[in-house]
Amino acid sequence: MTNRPPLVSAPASGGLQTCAARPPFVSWAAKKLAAGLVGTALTSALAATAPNFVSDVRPIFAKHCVECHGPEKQKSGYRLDVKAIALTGGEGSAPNIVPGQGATSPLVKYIKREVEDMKMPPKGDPLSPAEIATIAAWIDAGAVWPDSASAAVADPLDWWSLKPIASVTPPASAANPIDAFIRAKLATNGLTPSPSADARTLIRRLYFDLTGLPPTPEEIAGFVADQAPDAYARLVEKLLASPRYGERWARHWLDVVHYGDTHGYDKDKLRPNAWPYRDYVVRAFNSDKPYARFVQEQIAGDVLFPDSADGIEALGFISAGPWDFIGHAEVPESKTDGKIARHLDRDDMVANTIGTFSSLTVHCAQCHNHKFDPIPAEDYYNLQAVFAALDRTDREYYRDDARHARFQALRRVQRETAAALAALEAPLRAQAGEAYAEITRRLELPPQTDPAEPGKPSPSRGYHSALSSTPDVTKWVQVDLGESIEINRATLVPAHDTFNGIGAGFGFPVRFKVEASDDPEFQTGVKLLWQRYDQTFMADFPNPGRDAFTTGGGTGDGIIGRYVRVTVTKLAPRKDDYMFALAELRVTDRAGKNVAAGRPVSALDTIESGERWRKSNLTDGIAPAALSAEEKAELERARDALLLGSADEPTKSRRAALLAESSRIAAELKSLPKPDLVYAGGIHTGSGTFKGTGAAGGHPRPIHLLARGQVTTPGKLVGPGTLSALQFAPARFDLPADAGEGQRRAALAHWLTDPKNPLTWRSIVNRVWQYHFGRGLVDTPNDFGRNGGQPSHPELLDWLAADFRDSGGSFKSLHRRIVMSATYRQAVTANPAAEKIDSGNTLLWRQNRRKLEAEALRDAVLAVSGKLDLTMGGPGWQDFVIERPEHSPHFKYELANPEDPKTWRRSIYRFVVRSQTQPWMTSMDCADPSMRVDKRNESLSPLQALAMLNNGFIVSQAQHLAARVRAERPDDLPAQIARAHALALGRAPEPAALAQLVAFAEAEGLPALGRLILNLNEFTFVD
Amino acid sequence: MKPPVLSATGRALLDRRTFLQQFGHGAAGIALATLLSRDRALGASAVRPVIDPGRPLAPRVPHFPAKAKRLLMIQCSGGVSHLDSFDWKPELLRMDGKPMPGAKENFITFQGENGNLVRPLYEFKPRGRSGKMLSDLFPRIAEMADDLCFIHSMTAKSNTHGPADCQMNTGFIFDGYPSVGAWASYALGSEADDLPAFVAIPDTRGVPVGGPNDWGNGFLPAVFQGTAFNASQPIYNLAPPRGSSSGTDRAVGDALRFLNDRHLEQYPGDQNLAARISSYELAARMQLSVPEVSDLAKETAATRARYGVDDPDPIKSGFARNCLLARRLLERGVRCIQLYHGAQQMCDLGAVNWDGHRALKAQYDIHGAVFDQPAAALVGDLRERGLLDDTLVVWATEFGRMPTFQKGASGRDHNPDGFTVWMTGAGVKRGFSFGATDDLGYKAVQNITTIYDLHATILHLLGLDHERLTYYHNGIERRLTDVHGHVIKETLS
Repeated sequence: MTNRPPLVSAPASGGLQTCAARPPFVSWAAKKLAAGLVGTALTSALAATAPNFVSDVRPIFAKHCVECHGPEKQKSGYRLDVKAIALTGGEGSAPNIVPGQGATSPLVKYIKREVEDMKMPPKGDPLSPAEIATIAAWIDAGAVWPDSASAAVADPLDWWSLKPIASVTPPASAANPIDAFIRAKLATNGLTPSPSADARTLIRRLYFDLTGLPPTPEEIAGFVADQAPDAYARLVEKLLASPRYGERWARHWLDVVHYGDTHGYDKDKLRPNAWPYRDYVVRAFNSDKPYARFVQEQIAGDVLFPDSADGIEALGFISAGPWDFIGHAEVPESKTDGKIARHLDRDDMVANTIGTFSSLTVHCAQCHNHKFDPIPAEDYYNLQAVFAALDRTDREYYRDDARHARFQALRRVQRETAAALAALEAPLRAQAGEAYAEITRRLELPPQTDPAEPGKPSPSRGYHSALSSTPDVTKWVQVDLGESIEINRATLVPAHDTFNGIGAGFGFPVRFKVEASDDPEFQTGVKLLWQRYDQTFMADFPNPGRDAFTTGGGTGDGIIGRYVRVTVTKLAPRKDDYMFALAELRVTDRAGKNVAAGRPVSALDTIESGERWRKSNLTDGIAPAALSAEEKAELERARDALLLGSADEPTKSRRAALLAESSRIAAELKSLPKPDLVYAGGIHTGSGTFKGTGAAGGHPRPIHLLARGQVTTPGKLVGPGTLSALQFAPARFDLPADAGEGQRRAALAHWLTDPKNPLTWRSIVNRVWQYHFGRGLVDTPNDFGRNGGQPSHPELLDWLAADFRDSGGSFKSLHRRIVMSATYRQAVTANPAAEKIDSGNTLLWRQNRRKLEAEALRDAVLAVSGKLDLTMGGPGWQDFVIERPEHSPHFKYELANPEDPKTWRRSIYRFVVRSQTQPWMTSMDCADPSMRVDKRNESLSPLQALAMLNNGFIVSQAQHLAARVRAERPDDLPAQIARAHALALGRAPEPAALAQLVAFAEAEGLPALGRLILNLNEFTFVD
Repeated sequence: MKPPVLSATGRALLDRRTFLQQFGHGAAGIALATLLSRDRALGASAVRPVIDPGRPLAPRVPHFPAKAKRLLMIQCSGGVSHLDSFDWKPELLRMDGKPMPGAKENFITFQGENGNLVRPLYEFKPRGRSGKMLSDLFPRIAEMADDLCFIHSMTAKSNTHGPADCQMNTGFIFDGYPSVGAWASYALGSEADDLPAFVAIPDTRGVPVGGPNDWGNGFLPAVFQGTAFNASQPIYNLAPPRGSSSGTDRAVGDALRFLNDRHLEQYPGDQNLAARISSYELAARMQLSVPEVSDLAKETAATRARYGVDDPDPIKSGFARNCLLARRLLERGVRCIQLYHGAQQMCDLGAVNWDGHRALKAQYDIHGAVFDQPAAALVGDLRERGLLDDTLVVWATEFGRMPTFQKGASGRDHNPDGFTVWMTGAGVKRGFSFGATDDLGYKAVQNITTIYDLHATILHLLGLDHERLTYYHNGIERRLTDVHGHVIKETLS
């Protein structure tokens, strides 16, 4: 009952991930059951004496069980009306019925109420002893269940999205295949397409769709005047070639993968190196990276394309979602809460991968088999196994491909050399025996020696604080110098202890400060000698090993105090706990004398464990002796001599060559400039609580099937694999035993991009379609399962998927296909007759009017005001001030200055905070970066109206718009107004409207006119 | 100033009957398309509210007749110690200064090691006719014992402030889920046509530990997010820009309506264009009504004194003003209010909220004096005005605290395994206590209650079945109560 670590407690029931129960899709008719009763005959002599399923057993199931395990509900995915499920299912305990073993079948234990948490039925009357005996006897006799007495279940694989992509020929009715499909369906529903939109509407639509920005009045005029037949096609090409295109479409992608620049969760720390992934996505769209390559890089770029910077940056996909800082950095993996945190971390990777690329809700299968789709829980854990070695971490690479390739090559050789050296030395070391081990120990474990008796080991280790379950606890220890003196410097000598294999630097504080005061309580007159205690994630003090740490020297105005206190704000890890320890605290006066020697020590707490650890040890002068350089060299020489004593000449020269190679590589690596960093999925090698798998060779963590998603009850060990419902390739990855973790991801990447994988290609063309029409052909782009939608035009979807796949996965070709169609170019006309038939415009008898998303709206305002800064890439711009970064950062948007030109870049480059989303953007239905967003909401609210009317951003940009048109059309108010109107709406005002606007501007001023124009419906919607 | 009227076109379009006729024909636009066109996924038992895109905040009928029309959640941020306030543990008096029975040598909780058990730091006395034992931490609230319905067996999923506060407000320990008020306004809309449906009133010292997520809309449309303001900090963007005269502002509004109407004439019947026009009109009404509702000068001197509005302590007067603001909003038909006491930790633990790790008594003396009078005045005032007949009031905090002091400190550590909340008002038993912690108040042992259960009960009182109020998101019909929760029938009157 004692040890409750931070973070989430294991859920009381129901596992980790949660899904609301949905009504069943299988209809089970009572009539069928009745029909099954007829004609069932006893089939064996044994059965003649055993209970009969139909007459004896089934009524018991019906009375007690089927309400929750039948057609209406399938708790734990289990049913007692369907033979196959009853005899094989049961989640963690499957099979629940073991024929021939009535007494030990889990089902019988449950109804006998022998298993805590599994007392069945949980509500209502328990089964009578006679009923239990009947069921047990039936199982003993072989659990004979006639097929005719089983309810039918629909074939779970019989679902549109799981079937192979059909080879479809477009109807011949139109030259453009998209139009042919759409018109055929319109015709069968008695609908006709709408006419094409006018040129001005088309260019504005195309600009926003492809670049997220409005066209300038000049571009509009040029396009309207261009009567050439290929004018529209040329415009499409121009926009696809614009760098603005990649910025626009990358934003859509980042919605889907839930990219953010902070971790989220309780302490929403910054991710300063997330942006290279964002820039990678922008670049990928602009360079029209083939989709298969795009997918492969994001899952396994480091494995499949190791020599390219893209191959590393793309792995930002794996780390895009939230990360539980406390669950990783403050709770070790050995604790339940640490396990839960890492389980949830992988869950996000799996859900993001399958949700993004396959449009299935695989995460619903973590507690039980998927309730609606054919995804067994084992598939889900196979997918977790693919990511089992990974954490979210900063990865080193070089943005320059050539340098990156060299870097990779050097590191490869470095690994190989180290392995060769280890292999070569292993037998020698064994032969060198205990003497060798002893020298090694001396090199690594210097004895504590008493200066009074040199050479004699002393038990005194130092001062050791009490233990704590979390690192972020403040503790202190201080020495009383006896009188107030001028302090020159303080020295912290690290302790040494072999506990948990820690050794040198044992317990050395991670974040701390050293202060002096004349007040033993340190309430008044506190002077800082040194500090490293701002609790930002990156500011840990590196463990000094055996080297003592000395604060800076006192200067002329020296620090005076009687007490010197070391205050620790982040403790060092020990085993499953935290503490801090020091061998010695020395304080020198101006004469260089250690005035702390032998002085009394007090502390917030201390373990006081015999002679080894006690407060007084802190000033007893006994500390681990550091080896001098000469001593160290001597010991190493002696060790090498022992090692090579039994070696032959070729081995010696081989070893020398390897050592030389190793130093050469180290030198070359050192000569490279500091590597770039990207926050990505990778092998993490850390210290303290967040160790990652790096220290253990980057091997995947063992992944167990978890019944109800509970980490406390691991089931069988599973290997890497993927969805078994798709049968074009084996779902379990058959990898050699020594395959590295990267092979698992490579296998998944190849599976995802297999031309025969129907989900991948359908998923992406559906997403692209949605962003062009406001609604996907399937209107649930993240869910192609039974809970999601079905395609409105299945043949068109398959044709597009196949065309996209077979023509190299080019996004730009897909855009061309779509925007060149007459369907896309239709006007947003009202048509009451058509509305009666198809009110939601599912069949596309017109184009949809769309509301600009938060980013497009903001970028458009800046474009119109003339202030948009088109600088691409790099760290995100911030429109907030961070308060209290040392604990949990507070993001103060209201303190940002709307006149700060740094914030006038495109919204794609905004620094995206998870815990406190940008209020203006949020009111405009911006995607929540904690959630995978396949489709923006488009709500309309008074808060949006207020944000558009009165927010500092709009007000200041309205002033810039006024200034812009004044400069562009000096001394001509009507022309200034017409210009502002044209910039925002792409057309000149009608004469009557212009007259009114002039009157308005004369009365209220041009900035008010700018505000007015930016608030018009016509500005916010795209026709 | 004359309130802006609805434009002719807007009125014609948004007249309820006209709307329904047109909507019946199916001029469904894109706004809230996910709400409107997803009948397919609507399960037999799920009841998704039908949202009129032109009036997304129009009042809607609940699943079944509701006891409560409005909800007021008063939350004390930081984790109020149940042992020093509402959960009377005489055994702690006897065991004062003794080690926790059964605890290991070093009894480690959230922050670290614990010392010995410590008696309640405030005196408990029998209150009201029921004789309910309550402490002097909240003397005026204690006087209302006969009206309150206590749940003493609350449990939270997390013992970290952020996630636990998030769970109390949204049902989930993660970011990105809709808050209680967002669900309520999504389900029920609002009775007030010139005020937000859902108002969050943060402490004058800042937002609660869960931050603005506490009133977020999550994956629900943004129109259902809570509007945050308090008596000191007006609604973000409500005021016209500095330097803009009210005349200019009105002129912008008038011109906007005129031009938007002209534009709409080209697209007769377009719901989105009309809905946006009406959202501006509601915004304009809010610009008038919010300053009016926030103007506490209209209250009588007696009322102001009762709440403590003019208290010399600015923190207390700030909270008192927020309480009075809450009453004024409820009177005007706001559907849901989440009122907070306590802000995110900025410096010493427990200085600005109830996170009493270090010096609990000293800090609670201050917080209790700030909280008690205004909160008691609010509940009493609501009752006297008859508003409690159809308003549910819930007092909550994210978790409780330990029966021990932390080692080397005079405060208690986090305790998510047992704590107290209370309800009062519409549909709730009066003078009733449900559930219990063990003799030391360490863990809930009787009628163990989850936050899901509390949320299920709140929704039930609002006439909503927590299992049927759903919103489809990424393959799941999401609920406030996830896949858990049972209405606590015993607490219903």
